Amino acid sequence: MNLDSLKKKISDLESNAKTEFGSAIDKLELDDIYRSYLGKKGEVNLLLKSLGSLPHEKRKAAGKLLNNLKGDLEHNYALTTSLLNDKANLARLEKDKLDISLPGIRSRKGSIHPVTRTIRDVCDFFERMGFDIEAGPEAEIDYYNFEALNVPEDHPAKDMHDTFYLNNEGLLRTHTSPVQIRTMEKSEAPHRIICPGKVYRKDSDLTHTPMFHQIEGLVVEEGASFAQLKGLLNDFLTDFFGEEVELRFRPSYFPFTEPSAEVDIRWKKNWLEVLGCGLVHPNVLKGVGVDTNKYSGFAFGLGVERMTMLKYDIPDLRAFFENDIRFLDQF
Amino acid sequence: MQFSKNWLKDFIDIDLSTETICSQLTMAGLEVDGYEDVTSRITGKDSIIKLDITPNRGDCFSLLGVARELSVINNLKLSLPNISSIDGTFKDKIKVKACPEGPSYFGRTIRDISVNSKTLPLIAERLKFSDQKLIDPVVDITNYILLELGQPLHAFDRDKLRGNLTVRTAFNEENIKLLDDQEIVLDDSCLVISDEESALAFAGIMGGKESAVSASTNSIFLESAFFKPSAIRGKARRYGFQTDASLRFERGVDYKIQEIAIDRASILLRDTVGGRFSEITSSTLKNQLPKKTKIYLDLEKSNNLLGTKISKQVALRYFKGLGLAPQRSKNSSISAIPPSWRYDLTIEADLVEELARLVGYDSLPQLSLSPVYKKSELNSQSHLSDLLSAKGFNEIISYSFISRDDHDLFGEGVAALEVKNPISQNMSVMRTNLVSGLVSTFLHNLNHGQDSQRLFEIGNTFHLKNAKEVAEKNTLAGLMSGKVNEDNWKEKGKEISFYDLKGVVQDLLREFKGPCVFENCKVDFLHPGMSSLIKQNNKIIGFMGCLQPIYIDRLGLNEDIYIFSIELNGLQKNVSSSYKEFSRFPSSKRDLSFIVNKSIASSSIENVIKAASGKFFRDIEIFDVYEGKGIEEEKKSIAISVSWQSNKQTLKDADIDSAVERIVNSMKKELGGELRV
Repeated sequence: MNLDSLKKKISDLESNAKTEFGSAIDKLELDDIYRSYLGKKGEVNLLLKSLGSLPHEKRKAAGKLLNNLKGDLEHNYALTTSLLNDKANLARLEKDKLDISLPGIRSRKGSIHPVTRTIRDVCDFFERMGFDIEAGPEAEIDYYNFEALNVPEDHPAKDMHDTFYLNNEGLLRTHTSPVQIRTMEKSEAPHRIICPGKVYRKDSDLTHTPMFHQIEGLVVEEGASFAQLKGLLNDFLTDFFGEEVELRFRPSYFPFTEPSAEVDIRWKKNWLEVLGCGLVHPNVLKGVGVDTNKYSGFAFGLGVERMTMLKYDIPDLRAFFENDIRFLDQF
Repeated sequence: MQFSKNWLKDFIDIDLSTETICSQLTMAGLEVDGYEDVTSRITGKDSIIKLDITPNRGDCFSLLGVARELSVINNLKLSLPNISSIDGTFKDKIKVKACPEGPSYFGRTIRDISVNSKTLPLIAERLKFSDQKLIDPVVDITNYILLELGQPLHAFDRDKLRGNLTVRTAFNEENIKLLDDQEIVLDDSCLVISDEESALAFAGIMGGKESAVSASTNSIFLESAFFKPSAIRGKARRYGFQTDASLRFERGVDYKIQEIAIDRASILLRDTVGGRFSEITSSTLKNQLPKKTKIYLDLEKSNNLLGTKISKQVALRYFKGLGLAPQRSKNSSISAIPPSWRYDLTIEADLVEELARLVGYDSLPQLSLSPVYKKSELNSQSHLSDLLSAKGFNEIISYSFISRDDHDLFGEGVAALEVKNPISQNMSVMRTNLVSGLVSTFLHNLNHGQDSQRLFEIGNTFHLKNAKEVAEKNTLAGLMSGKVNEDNWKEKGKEISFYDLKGVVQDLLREFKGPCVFENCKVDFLHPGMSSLIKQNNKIIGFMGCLQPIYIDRLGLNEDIYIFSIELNGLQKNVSSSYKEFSRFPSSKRDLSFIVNKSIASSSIENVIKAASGKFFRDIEIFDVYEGKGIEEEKKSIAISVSWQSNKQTLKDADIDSAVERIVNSMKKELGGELRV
């Protein structure tokens, strides 16, 4: 065999191999073809072995030619492999295609009651201001609900609280204010507390339920002033409604604060009462042994349902206690 | 109280829009409920203003009081309508006698009144605008004075009085028939007007039927008295009513206006029913009249409290307008004496409020409160709610009072705290657990098409410790019914089982410290074979289970209802304190299956296996429980996966084999369990 016929052979082999590689339909077939050319007993190796009959100097040139062929085919094989892999992958993707518009398998949605949401929102604000959350009993006694709060027996102010009485000589608290007294009895001033909870009044119509929720706040410290009360409630209402609200303070009456005020907010053109507040009445502070020469205090209370109705535009108070899932699911 | 706006012009020369007047009153603390424009036949354009007066402002239950406030606000002169006296033309022999609780009493007789007279049109219209019914000219005039001056008057039929009149406390069990025909039994805390034979009127509250003015009345005796607020307070309410008179007397009537009121009424009576007027007879115990003591205001302290800089001069001017007779006192102090019509001014703080009111609450300065640092508290309640909400539970809030029937059904036989004056019998017992609220809510929603429901509530429950003491327990309870997951296009949803309920409870209790144990329980309304007590740290903290089939039937349901209840007081939040190194070596796992008697609880199998597994034991998991074909009756097959791991080495097969052998032996010895091969 001379060099020219070898060249011819190499060139034929190359073009045959490339054609066959190209015709392979999958990786398996390609690998068979690969082995038939480049395997141990493949045609390239066979050709290599046949070089022994060539003279030394020609053998070197022939070896180089064959190595080039080998490299060329390996490259072609790698290229074809990658093409076939891509093809196989595409086929698989096509096969596994889903109708992504079918609904996902979801778990049930729960909800937190809107009254609880408001209590959390309010308490969050006051906790950031350094208030402690306090709680007290709902089944109270006259002393904490009225007397210690400067509401004497038979006082007309009691008419403002239609009270439910219990068969243990106690009553259901008509406001969260008793917690003020209990806290001030329990620990020394200064105080910053916020007390959310259920309260009860004997009243049931479109705008009243016999049970509802209030949040009471109390600050007793040196220099506590009406100006701070105004500032705090303004900041709070802005935080709660998420925007500046127009508010007004007007004189009112609570036996346990003096001066007392009612806070109205401007809501769809009208003034709506949302909070009661005032400077803690000296009789209340003295009753729990707070030094009124050193400390002054202010307190405020708000109706949770009312605030929630405003925030979420809920028209009917009774929805809160009907607990219809179609209502609850919206929170 | 409601009144005609034009009526104010009898007292002050005011020319402001109704809206401005309403806004001024509201900002002065006399809340306006609303107003309505009307046309008066006599005065033309008018408005009816409705006031919501707080209990401290008894002085504003009259046109005079309201006008006085407006006069101070607008710096107008306040004048009274025509109050000239009518001299009596004769002396009636009747004598009156005041008493300490009713220390001032004025009266006069008017004889030969005209029976056919009519109430003057202006008075009739004003009464109508004030929502007062017209009765007869005499009563209409007493009602008119009550509104005009705030002084309740009463007219007796003179010919029915027997001898002299006394204000006295009632005798115990003294009877009186009132004007509205109700008969009540009084006691010695009540005050009456009495003649020499019996009580004629419930003093300051309502007149009696016997001595009432009627169509045939020819002569009247007109009363204008002052009764102490403490003598009237709560009395009418005790009998379940309230009158315009009691409303005013219990809040405090001006104790200097009685004579003015009787003069004013006399003029109106003369102009309406005519008649002959006797001299005025009166009795006043001066030392029993309310005492108005001097109050000192430290202006500097007041300015600090309000955040204001009100000058002494301005403060004096305001107080003068309010009739407080202010005087400069030493340093920054001012002294003041409250007028006879104000009962709400007794201490310094009351004067601070008056200053604030007149400056205007809206004009008071505003300061931000500085936050102070506070250690944050873990709010486990919010955390539990969030956890349940994430598990698909809707939070509900139900009333704390339930019906007697519901308490009998779900109250666990516990004595309950009761509401003595419930709003309805359905709200008469304080709940001892949250079950009835959950069940009622479930039924409500079921009736509105919600089949699968998960509900929870956190609230106080009330437990009588003895006849007087109540323990309130903060309780978390939940209800599950229907399917774990709704049916969908891919698969059908599973029905909720006891174990879904138990899983929820276990997930909740993982948030708290201490081991949690479940024991069989006996709760009336739960299925005895599908319920459990919940114990944490060896203390019973609640129960869970499926509602008794009888209860399910009684409620007319087809589906099972699962309920849990956990008492939250006393549970300690689990806080991860420090990190524990985990093993880097592989764990070995063996699956074992045993045949045991059906009655053996899986928890005892777990305990036996844990005890026999040796020091490298890491975890145990039950992955199958089977009863039925291929297994003897009375037996069950339970398949368990046990794993081992060391912190220091890879375990050898031999170590595991010997542990498995110990497990098999213990299971046989202690529970008669056979390894299923």
